[in-house]
Amino acid sequence: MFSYEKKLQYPVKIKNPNPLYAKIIISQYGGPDGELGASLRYLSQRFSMPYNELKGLLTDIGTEELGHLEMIGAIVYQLTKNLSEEEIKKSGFDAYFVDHTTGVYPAAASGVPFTAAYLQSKGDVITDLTEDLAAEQKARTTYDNILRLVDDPDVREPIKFLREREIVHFQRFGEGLRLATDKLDSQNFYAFNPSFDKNCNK
Amino acid sequence: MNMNNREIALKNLSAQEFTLWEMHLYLDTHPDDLRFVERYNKNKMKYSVMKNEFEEKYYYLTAESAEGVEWLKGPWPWENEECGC
Repeated sequence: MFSYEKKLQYPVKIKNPNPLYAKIIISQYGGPDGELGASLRYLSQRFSMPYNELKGLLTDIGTEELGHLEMIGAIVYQLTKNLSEEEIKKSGFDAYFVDHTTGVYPAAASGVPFTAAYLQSKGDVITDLTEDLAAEQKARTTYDNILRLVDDPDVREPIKFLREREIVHFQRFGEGLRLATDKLDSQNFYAFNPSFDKNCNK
Repeated sequence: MNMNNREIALKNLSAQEFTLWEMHLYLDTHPDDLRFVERYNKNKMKYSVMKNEFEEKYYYLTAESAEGVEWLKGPWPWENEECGC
């Protein structure tokens, strides 16, 4: 089960609303490399993970990603407060506004709604962890791109925090993959799939 | 970022919780590092004290520790008093 803590992992307090920034940052809510995809990916993959270290790691990182989803939601919410119709039209936020007003909706910056096609749960420990490593790097690049486009320090600080988390998770997933291959046949890691085949651990 | 006393207290609490969480993730892939477990436990005690202090002074942070008016009391984490939202 999950229980809620009434706080953000890192504070979000934005003084100046900016619908253009919201339009960009919503991608980390429901875009191809966003936090919703990340949490669903890890929390789904963990069921078929063969080793306790990996069950723990995917549970914990998947849970942390839900906290990141909440931070992105808070950023978008605060960036779209008290907007005038003029500001909405001028910033190009009008395309989002017509469908969602200022509600927070999981979509990419391009407007494509969230889809589970952004993630995979393959039921193979090496495949899934390799996807996770790539996912962390893709999210890191997205945060780097956001940082290229955003000047306001109130927005940059929480985005920089989230970017750093991608790097730490990449490190932990790398250790997880190493833990897994250490338990496999060193002549051929692919001789069997420990997420599926029985009695295959050395 | 201008912060009031409650926000500063919450930020300090979050920093301590983050330290714990980072250590927790490390221990997922290094479960045999017993010296690190010791450090984790020390930090955990510090966090419990800080959390109790915050909840006594401001509001409860978990659904298990408050209900009704106590739980519904704001601000909620995504709200920002400065912009009136």
